[in-house]
Amino acid sequence: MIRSVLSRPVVNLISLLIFNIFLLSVQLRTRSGQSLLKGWTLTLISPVISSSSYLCHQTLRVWDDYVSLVGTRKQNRRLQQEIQQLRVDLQRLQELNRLYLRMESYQKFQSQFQYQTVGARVVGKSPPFWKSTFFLNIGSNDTVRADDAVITPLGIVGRILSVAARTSEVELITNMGAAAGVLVGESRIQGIAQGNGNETLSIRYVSSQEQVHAGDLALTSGTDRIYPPGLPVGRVITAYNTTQISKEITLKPAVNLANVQEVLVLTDYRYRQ
Amino acid sequence: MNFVRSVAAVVLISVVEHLLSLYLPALLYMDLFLLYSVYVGLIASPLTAVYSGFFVGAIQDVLSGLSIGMNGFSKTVIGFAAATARRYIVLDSTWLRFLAVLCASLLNMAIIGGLLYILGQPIRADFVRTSLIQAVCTSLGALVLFQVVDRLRRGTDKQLARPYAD
Repeated sequence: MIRSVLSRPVVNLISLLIFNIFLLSVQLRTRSGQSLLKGWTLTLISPVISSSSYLCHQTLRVWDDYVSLVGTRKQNRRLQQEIQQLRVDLQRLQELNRLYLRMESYQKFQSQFQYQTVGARVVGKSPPFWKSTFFLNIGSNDTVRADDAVITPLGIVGRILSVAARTSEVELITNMGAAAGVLVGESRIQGIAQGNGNETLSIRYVSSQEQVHAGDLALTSGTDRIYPPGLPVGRVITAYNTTQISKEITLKPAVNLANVQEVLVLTDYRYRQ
Repeated sequence: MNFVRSVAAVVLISVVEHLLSLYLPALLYMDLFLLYSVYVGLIASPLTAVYSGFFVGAIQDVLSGLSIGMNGFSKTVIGFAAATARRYIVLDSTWLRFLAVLCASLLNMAIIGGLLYILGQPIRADFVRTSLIQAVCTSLGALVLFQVVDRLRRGTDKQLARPYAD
C-alpha cells in the first residue's frame, strides 16, 4: 500500500516540490527583510536551541540548588554564628560609643565643676517597690563617705546612704523620705523637695501666695549641706493651691533615674562647709 | 527524441511568449506554459509530466520575473495532476480537455496565490480577476492549440512510423 502510494512519480513530485520551495526560500524575503531560508532555518533550529538552553539552564539550576548546597548547612551555621558574634560586637561598640559620649560630658562637667568628684558606675539597683536605691562600684577606698552627694551633669541623683570598702549604696532623691533644699522658678522661691516613693518629687513649704508654674525649673539651694547650690533637681509638673497655706507642687526629676548608669560622687563638698 | 521535442517545444513556447510580450501583450492571458504542462500530462507518463512541469515552470518564472519556483511548483503539480487524471478519465474529448485546462488554470491560480500568501509576499489587488481571465483565455486557447498539436503529433508520428510500416 505504502509502496503503491509512494510510487516513483509521487516521490519525484514531492522532491521537485520541495526543491521549488527551497528555491523560493532562497530568493524571497519576509516583509521584515529577512531571508525566508534564514527565517525557516531559524524556525527549525530555534526549538533545538531553546531546548538545549532550557536543559542547560535547568541542569545548572539543579546543580546550584541541590548539588552545590551540600556544604550550605554547615556554611549557614557558621554564618549564623558570625552574625550573632557581629551583633554582640556591634552592641558592645554602640555601648562603648554611648559610654564615651557620656564620659566626655562627665569630664567636661567635672572640669567646670568647682568641687572634687569621683566617677562611679551603677552596678546594682534595689527593687523599686521597696526602696529607691542603687549601688555604685566605689566605696570608702575611693574616699566616698556617707551623705556625699551623687549627681550627673543633668542634675542631682541622690546621696550616699551607706559605704563599704569598694561599694556604696545611693538613696535616690525620689525615695520616700529623701529631701533636698530647692529654689523654684524665676523668683527663686525656697522650698524642700521630697521624694514621693515613685518617680516624682513634691516641694513642701512654698506659700500659696507664691507664683509657681508648670515647667519652672527647681535648682538645689545648698541649704541641706549635702548638695551644692545651683544643680538642677527637676521641673514643675503641677502647682496648685490647696486649703492649706502651702502650695502643692509636683516635680519631675531632672535626671532620668531609671536609666542612669554613671554618676559622679562629690567627695569634698560637705567638708568644705 | 521525445526529450528533443520537449526541449524544442519549450524553446518555442519561450520565444512565442517573449514575442507576445513585445507585440501582443493581450495574448499573454493565454498561459502557454500551463497548456504545455497539461498537454504533457495528457500524453506522457506522470514522471515525465512532473519533470516537464518543473522545468517549464522554472522557465516561466525566469521570463515572467517571478521568483523561481513559484510557477515551477504549480506546473509540477498540474503536470502530475493531469497525468494522474488521465489514468482514470479519458480526456480525448475537446470539451473535456477544455474543462481540464480550466481546472488546471484555477489550480494554478490557487497554488500561486496560496504560495504568495503563505510566503508572506504581496498579492496584487486584481490577482483573482486577472487569474480568472487568464484561466478562461487559456482554456479557450487549449481548444485550438491542442487540436493543432494533436494534428502535428499525428503527422509526425506517421512520418516517423512510415519506414517501419513499409
